[in-house]
Amino acid sequence: MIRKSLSLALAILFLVLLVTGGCTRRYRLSDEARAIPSTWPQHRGEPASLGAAQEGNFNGKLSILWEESSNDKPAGPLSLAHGTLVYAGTKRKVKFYNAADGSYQGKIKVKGVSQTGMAVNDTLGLVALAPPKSRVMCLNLKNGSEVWRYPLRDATAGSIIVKDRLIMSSVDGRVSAWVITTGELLWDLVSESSLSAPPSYGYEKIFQPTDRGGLLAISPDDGSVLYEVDVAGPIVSAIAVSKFLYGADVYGNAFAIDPKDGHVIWKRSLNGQVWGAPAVADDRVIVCHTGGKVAALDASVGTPLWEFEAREVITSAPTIAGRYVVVGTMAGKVISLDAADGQVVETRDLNEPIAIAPVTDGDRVYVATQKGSIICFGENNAPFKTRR
Amino acid sequence: MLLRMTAKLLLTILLALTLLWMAASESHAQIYFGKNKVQYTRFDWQDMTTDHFRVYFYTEEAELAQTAARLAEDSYRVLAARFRNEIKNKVPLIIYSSPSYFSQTNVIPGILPESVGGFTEFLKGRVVVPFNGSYADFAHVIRHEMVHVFMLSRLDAATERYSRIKFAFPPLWFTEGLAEYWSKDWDTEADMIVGDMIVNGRLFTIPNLQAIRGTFFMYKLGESILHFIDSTYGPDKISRLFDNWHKSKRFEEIVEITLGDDLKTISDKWEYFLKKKYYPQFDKAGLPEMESEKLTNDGYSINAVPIRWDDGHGEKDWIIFKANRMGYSGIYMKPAVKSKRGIKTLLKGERSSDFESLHLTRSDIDASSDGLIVFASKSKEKDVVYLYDLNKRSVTRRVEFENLIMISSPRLSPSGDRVVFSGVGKDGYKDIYVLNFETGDYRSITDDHYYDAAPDFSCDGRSIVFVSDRCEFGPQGATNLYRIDLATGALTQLTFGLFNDRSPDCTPAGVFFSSDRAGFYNLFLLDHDDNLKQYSNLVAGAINPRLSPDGTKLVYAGYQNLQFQIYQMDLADDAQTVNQPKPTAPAVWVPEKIEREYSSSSIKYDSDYSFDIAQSAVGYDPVYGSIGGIQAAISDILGNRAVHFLLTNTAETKDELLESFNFGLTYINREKRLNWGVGAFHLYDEYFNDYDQYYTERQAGAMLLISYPISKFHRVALTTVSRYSDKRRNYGFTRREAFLTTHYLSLVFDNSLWDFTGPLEGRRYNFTVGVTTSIDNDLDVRNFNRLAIADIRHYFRIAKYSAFANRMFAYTSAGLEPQRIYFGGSWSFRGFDRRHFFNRNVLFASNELRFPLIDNLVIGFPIGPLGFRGIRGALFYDTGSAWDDDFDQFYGSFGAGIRLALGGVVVLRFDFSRTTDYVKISDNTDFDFFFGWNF
Repeated sequence: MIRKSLSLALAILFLVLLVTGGCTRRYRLSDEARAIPSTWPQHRGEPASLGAAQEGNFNGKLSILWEESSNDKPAGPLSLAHGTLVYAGTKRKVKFYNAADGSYQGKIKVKGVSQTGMAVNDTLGLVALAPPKSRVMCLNLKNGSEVWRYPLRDATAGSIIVKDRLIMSSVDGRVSAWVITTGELLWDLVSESSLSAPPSYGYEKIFQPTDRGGLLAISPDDGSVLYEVDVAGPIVSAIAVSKFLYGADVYGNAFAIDPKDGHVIWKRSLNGQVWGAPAVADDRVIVCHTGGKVAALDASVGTPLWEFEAREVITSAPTIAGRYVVVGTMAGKVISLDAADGQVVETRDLNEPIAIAPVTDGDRVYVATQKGSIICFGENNAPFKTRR
Repeated sequence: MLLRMTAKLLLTILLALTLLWMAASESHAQIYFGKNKVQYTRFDWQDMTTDHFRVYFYTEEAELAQTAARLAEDSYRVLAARFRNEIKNKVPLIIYSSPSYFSQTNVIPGILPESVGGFTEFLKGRVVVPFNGSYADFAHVIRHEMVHVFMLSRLDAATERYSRIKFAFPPLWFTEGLAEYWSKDWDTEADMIVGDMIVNGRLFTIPNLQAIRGTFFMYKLGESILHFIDSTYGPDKISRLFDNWHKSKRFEEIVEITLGDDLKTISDKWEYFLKKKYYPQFDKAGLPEMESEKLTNDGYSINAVPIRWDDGHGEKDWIIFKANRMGYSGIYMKPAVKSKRGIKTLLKGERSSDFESLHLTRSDIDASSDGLIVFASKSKEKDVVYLYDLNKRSVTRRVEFENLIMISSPRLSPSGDRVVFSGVGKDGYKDIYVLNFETGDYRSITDDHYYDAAPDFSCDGRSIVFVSDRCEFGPQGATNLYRIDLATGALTQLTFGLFNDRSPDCTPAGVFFSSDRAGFYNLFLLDHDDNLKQYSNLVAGAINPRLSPDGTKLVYAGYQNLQFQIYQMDLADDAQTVNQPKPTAPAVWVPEKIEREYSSSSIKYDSDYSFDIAQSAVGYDPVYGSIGGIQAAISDILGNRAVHFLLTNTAETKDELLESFNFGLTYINREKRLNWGVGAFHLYDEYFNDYDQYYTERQAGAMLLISYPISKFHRVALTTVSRYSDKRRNYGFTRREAFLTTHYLSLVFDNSLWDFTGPLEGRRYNFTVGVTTSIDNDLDVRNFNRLAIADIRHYFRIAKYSAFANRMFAYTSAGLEPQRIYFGGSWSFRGFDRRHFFNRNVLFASNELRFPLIDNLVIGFPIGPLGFRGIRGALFYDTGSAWDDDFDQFYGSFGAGIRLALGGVVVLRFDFSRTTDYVKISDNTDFDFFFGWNF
C-alpha cells in the first residue's frame, strides 16, 4: 500500500515537473517584467527606436555573453520587450528568453507560422500568421489566451504600434489598422500595388513602400493617403525615419525623401539588390546589399562615405548600436564595423546563416541564426552562461 | 528481357550481373543487353580547391581549369546575391576539355545523349560540364548548372527551416527555365524557338508544358516565362517565390501567393505579351515555307550541300544533306528539283562503331561535283574524317588524327586535294586545320585559345574563311568572320559587331553566311567590295547557306514549326544593303583565370568516397517467404570506383536467425576501359522449382566480374564465381555439398533504337557460354553443369513508328545439375503461363509486328491530368518448345497486344492470345496483363 502510494506520488511529481519544466513551459508575463520597458522596436520610425539604438555601451566587440539553441528556426523579426528576447519560430510557437542571461522563459503557441514576429504592447502580443492560417492575432501575455483575431492574407514581415493601434500591411496591397486592445478594424486602405515591405512611422504619418517603387504617406487616424511619390524600383524593405525618410529598392537605388511632402532629396545607385531596411546613425545612412557590401552614405546629400566588402551575401538589415554597425551574413558571419569609417572592429564566424536582422538594446546585440541559435554579444560585465 | 532462372546460382548470378549492369551503360537496358559507355581515355585527375568549389580536372586541361574556377566563382557570387543564399559545402565541379571526353564520365551511369551540354547530379551535388571551345558557352553552362545547385540549396533550406517533410517541387520547366534565364541573356536561339511557336500557332501554354517535358523547347519556353515574370511582376518576384515556398505544398499556389495571379492567368498574359512582341515581325519578315521552296519534310534536316553530279540516269542537280529522319542521323541525297526520285539514304549513323555519331547539329558536311562527300563522325574514342564516293556508293577514305579528339565541319578545297576543318585537341582548344589528302599530313592554321570553327576555302584555295570569337565582343559570345592567308598567315577580320556570324560559304559572288545581326538568323552576303547584303528576312531562322552550282539559288536550313528543314530560294537581285559597324577596340582578349590566393591545387586527385544510397527494405514472396535487410553503396566523386553492400536475413524462426544472414560486398572499378569488380558473399535461403521442389541452399564464396567494351555496341563479359554450396532438398532429404566454380563468358551486341515501349530498329544479340566445375572428389563428374545461350533479336523498320521484330532464342544446359529455366508468359512465350515450361533445353522464336495507335493521350482527372505517351499495338506469333531429355513437340501462340508507356521503365502490357499444338487451336483466348518493355 505504501509502495503503491509512493509510486503514484512520484509519478504525479514527475508529471508536474514535466509540465512546469522547460519542455512544456508556457510563458507568462510577470508584473516585474511588465515594468521593464520594451526597446526593440515598438514601431519603426521614432529616432529613439527606429532600430538604431543611438545610446548605449556597446563597444563594438563581439564577446559572447550567452548563447542558446531554440530548437526552432526564426520565422520573423526578433523583438526586445519587457527584458525578454521575443523569438517567433517556424514551429508555431513564440519563445521568450531573458535578455540578460538567455534563460528560457517559456513559450506561447500561436498555431501558425509567424510572418511579422511578435510586437509587444504592454501585456499584449500581436502577431500575424502566414498562409494558410492567414490572420493577425492578439494574445494576452499574462495568461497566453487569445484576445482577438482578424483575417489577414499574407502580412509583410513587420508591424508597428502607433499610439493605440496596430498597423500592418499585406502582400495583396492592404494597409490596415486595428485597435490593439479590442481588434476593432479602424481603417483598411487598399493600394493598387502589391506590398512586400512593412510600414514605418514618423512625423505623424505611416510610410508604406510599394512593389511598384512608390511610397505612400498615410494618415494613422483614418488611413487616407496624404501623398504618394514614385521613387525607384520595387521596395521590399521598410523605410528608416530620421531627418529624412531613407529607403532602397531591389535595383540597389538608395534614396532620401522629405517626409513633409515626399520630395526626393537624393538618390544613389549601390550596384546590388537591397532587401534589408537601411539604418540611420547620426549623419549617415547604412545600407547592405546582396552583393556583400555595407555602404555608408551621407544622410543629407547621399554622398558615399565608405564601403565595406563582406564578400558574403547580406540579406538582412544592418543594426546600429552606439557607434557601431553590426551585420549578419548568409555564410554565418557577424561583423561589427565602426560606423564612422567602416573599419572592422571584430568578426565572428557562427557557421550558421543569418537572415534576420540583429536587434539591440544599446548595450547588447542579439543575433538569431537560420539554424535556430540565439547569441548575445556585448560587454562581459553581467552574469552569463555560454556553451561555446 | 531477362528470363526467369531458378537455378542454384540465382541470387549469385543476379547479384553479379546486377553489378555488371551498374558497370555497363544505358540505365534502361537490362544486364542482358545494352550499349556501353567506354572509357577509352585514361585521365590523370587532379583537384583544385577555391573558396566555394572543388574543381576536378586532368593534366591536359590544367589551364582550362583555372578559367573554369574563375567562371565558377564569378557565377557563385552573382547567384548567391540572386538567391540570397550561401552554400556552405564546396561544390564539386568536374570539367572535361571536350564533349567527347565528357561522354565518358562515370558520374552518372547512363549514356549521355550528345545534346546534353552539362548536368548537375542531385545525389552528391556534382556539377559536370564539358568545354566545347567557346568560353561564352562554358560560362553559360557553368552558371546554368550552378542555378540548379543554388535552387536545390534554397529549397533544402526552406524544407529544413520549416520542418516540412512534404514540399512542393518545382516543375521541370521552371527549374530549367530559371537556369537558362539566370545564366545568360535572352538570345537569338531563344527568339527563334519562341518566335516560331507564336507565329505558327504552336505555343505550348503553361498548363500544357508537360507535353514537351524534357525537351529543348521546354527549356526555352521556361526561360521566356521567367523573363516575362521578371519584367511584368517585378525583379524581386522570382526570388520571393523561394521565400514563400513553405506556404503551400503546391507549386501553383506558391506562384499565386507570390505573384497574385494563378498560372492560367500568367500563361494568358505571357502568351499575349509574346504575340505583341512577335506578330509585328510579319510586317516585314516572312516564313520559310512561304518564301522558299521546301525540299525536305520529315525529321530534322540540316546541313545541305547542292551539287551538280550526273548519276547516269538523267538527274544532275542534287542536294546532299544530313538529317535525323527516323531516329538515327544519316546522310541523304535527293534531287534539287521536283522529281519522282525520292530521298536516298547514303549512310546510316549510330549503328556501328565506325559511325557512332555524325554530330548532327555540331558539324557541317561538304560535297563536290566529282561525287565526293566529306564528313566527320565519331569512331570509338575520336572523331575521324571520312570521304564518301557517290560513284561507288561507299566510304573510300578514313583519316584519323593522333592529337585531335573532335573534328567538325570538314570542307573540300576547290581542287579537291585538301580538307579544312576545325579540330579540338586534348587541351580543349578549337582551331583550324588543313589536311592534305595525298600525303595524309595535317597542320594547324590557328593555334590559340580562341574558338575557331566552320572554315571554308576561298574560291582560289589560297585562304580560309572561318568563324571566330577572337573579336571585340568575343567574351560576350559574339562570333565574326575572319580570313587567313594560307601562305603568309595574315589574318583579316571580315565582319564586325556583337553578333553571331556563322556558316560561311565562299562563292564567286562573295561569302554567304548566316547572322543574327538583323534579329533572327538570316542569310547575308559579304561581297568582294566588302558590301554587306541581306538576302533573307525570315521570322525564326535561316542558317547554313550554300550557293547552288549555277549561282542562282541559295539552299539553306530554315526553322519553322519546331524543326529545321532544307529550303531553296532564288537569289534576289534587289538584296538590301546593310551597314556593319567597325571595331572600336583591339580584338585581343584573354580568358580570366582564378587568382592564386583563392585557389590551392593538389597533384593527385583525392578520391572522396560518399554514399550513393543507403536504404532498408522488407519484402515477402508467396513462394520464397519473407526477407528484410539493408543495402548501401558508396562511390568516389568521379564515379569510377564503387562499393556495394547488402545485408539481409531470410530467417523464418528465431532459431535460424544467425544462419540465415545473406551478405554481399562488391567493389567495382570503372576507371579504365576494362571494367572489373570483385566481391564476396554468403547466401542462404529456401528456394523452389518444379524439379527440386523445396530446398535450401547455402552458398559462400567470392566472385570476379570483368566487362570489356569493344565499342559502344559490343562488349565481352566474364563472370567467375567460386563458392561453397550446401544444397538440401526438403523432400527426399538429400544433401549435396560441393565446392563449385562457375565461369560465364558473354558476347553482347546492341545497336537498337528505342521507342517508348521497346526497340524499333537495329539488332541485339547475346551469346553466353558457361561451365560449372566441382573440385569435390565425392562427385563423379567434374563437369557439374554447362550451358549455352543464344539470343538474337532483329528489328526491321517499316515506318517511323512501326517495325517487324524477330527473336530467336536457344538455351541448353547439361551436366550433373543442369540449370533449368522457366519459360512462358508475357516476356517470352505468350499465351502460356510464366512458369509453364521448366526445362534445360529451349528453342523459341517470336515474331511481332509493332505499330502505333495513339501518340499522346491526356485524360483530365479531378486530381489533375494524366498523360500517356506512345500507346502501341502489336500482332505476334510465337513458336517454340522446351524439353529435358527427349524433345516432345513444338507449340505456338498468336494474338494481339497493346502497350502503354507510363514513362521510364513502366510499360503496361495487355496481350490477347490463343495457343496451338499445331493440331488444334485453343478454344479460349488468354488475356495476360503484365509490365515491361517489348523484347
